[in-house]
Amino acid sequence: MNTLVKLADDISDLMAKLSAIILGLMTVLILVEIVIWNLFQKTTLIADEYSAYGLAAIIFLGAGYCLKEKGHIRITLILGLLPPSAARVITAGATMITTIFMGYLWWYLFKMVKSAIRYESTSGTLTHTPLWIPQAIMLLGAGVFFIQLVAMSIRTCQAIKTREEVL
Amino acid sequence: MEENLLIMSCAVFGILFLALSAGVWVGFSLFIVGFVGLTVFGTLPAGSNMASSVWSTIEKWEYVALPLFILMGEILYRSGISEKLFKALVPWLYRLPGGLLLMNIVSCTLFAAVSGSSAATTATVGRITLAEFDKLGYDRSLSMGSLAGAGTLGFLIPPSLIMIIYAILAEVSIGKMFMAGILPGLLLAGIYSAYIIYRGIKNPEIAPQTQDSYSWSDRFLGLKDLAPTFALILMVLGSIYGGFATPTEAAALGVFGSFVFAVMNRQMNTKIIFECLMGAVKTNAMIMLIVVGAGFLSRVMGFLGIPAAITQSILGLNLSPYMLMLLLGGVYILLGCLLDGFSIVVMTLPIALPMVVAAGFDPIWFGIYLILMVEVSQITPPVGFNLFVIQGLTGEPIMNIARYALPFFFLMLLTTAILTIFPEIALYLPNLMTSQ
Repeated sequence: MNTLVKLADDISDLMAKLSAIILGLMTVLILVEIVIWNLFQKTTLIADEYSAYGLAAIIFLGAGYCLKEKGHIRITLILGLLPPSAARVITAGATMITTIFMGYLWWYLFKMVKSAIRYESTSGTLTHTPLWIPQAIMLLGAGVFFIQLVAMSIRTCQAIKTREEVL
Repeated sequence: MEENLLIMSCAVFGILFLALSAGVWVGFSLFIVGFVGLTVFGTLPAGSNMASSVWSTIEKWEYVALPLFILMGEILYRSGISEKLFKALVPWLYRLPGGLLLMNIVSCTLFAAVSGSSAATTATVGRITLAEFDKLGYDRSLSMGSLAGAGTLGFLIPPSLIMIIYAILAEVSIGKMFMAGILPGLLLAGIYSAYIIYRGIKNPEIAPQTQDSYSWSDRFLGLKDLAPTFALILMVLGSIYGGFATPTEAAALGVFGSFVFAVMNRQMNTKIIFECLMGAVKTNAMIMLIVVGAGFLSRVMGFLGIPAAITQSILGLNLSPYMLMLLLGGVYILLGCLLDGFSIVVMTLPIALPMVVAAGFDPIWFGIYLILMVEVSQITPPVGFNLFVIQGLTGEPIMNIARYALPFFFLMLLTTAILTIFPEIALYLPNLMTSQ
């Protein structure tokens, strides 16, 4: 169990580093577009579209890391008023429900990507980018987020026994 | 309201309340409620709708401005900009009643014009001022309270992360929304300053004078330290106002400008830039998870006809526009005690906006009103992000900081009232943009 949790943490870190690189590249891409448009009246054609794909990628690729670092917003006020043991049980329950839900969402995102491949959907822009490519990167991110949630479920369940602080 | 719509609305809000109280992350709470609403009351398949809603929400060029402005804030936080601001402003402010306490207001106002977030503004300014004020023996309640109040300007004075999200959801121009925030931001800063000067005159002990003295040449020579801040403001806001750049492009320029500034200040290397990027990835994921969840819930509520039904029944009460705003204000203050600003905006917008527009208000004006409500939520306990930031800086208990911030809470409400009576304060600059 603990190996799995450790592995999930490592994957989340790695994906966040990848997101950091993507965000850096997005910035550079937009700056290049501004420079060549204003100096040479030329355009990269892809700056708008690809930086939007970049955003779609980093949201989910970074979500697992954000979860691990306790960055996602939740209301702990009411849990804080309960006895710690009850708060731990509810937290474990809430985390598991979230995990199952994320698994469900992932499955439908997967189906969306599959149908994008089957119907050969493209972006409808000049680049005719096949939509499944950016969508598949998002799917990868959603998968990593799901794995981190599984790890979080394990951790919160263990905390019921070990009486560790979970909020 | 029809009976089944009433049952539906109660069920939706009931489940939302339950999920949020159980500590389910806000973004997922919104998702789950949307899912239950669509499965129980709707006729469309929930899963595939959810997937397509996720993709269509996040794949938007306008949202790219969000991580870029967050990145700019991360760079500036580490760039030494607040030290420079402090140094340049001391000679101008030290003799005024209230003394350097005004520094909190002036620095936050200037920094808000390059930063998109209230928490970032509070943290960046507070890391310098609070320690200095302690050394000078200033009144602690006013030094923390004024920082809590002025830090919220980060959201009102453009660029602003909340404004970007509001503008996209309300389908108004981000550029106009930015311009609409400038005068109300200056008004609020002016009211804060007047209050501090008044306190300083009444009781000079709150900010004991120092022995230092500065000449006029010190004052003007010091201005060179303000130059980078003004250059960044010009680069980001000037390019949007002049129509040279979209908000996303302006954000990229801002990242570049702050990077250059940090390099010149010798506050930049590979390790730091990576830290900044990682910080931006984390905050971006936090905000966008809420936005994505809210996007789906708002789609579901639209399917079920809940916003229209609520609008109708509220309008049926025949409230005057001012009464409506007062009522909404009360709801927002309550929500603000429990939720963060992003959640408040994305959760309430699908219902509040149609109602307010039907009552005859301008959507851009309502954006500013909503942002003032978000600012209030930043300093109301138990959940107020500016309070958390100041707690992190000082170790003071949340409830004490909230008490120190109380006068500024009332000053915000006063500003909101002024803005409701004189909506032109918000709408003057954006209207000027149209006529260009």
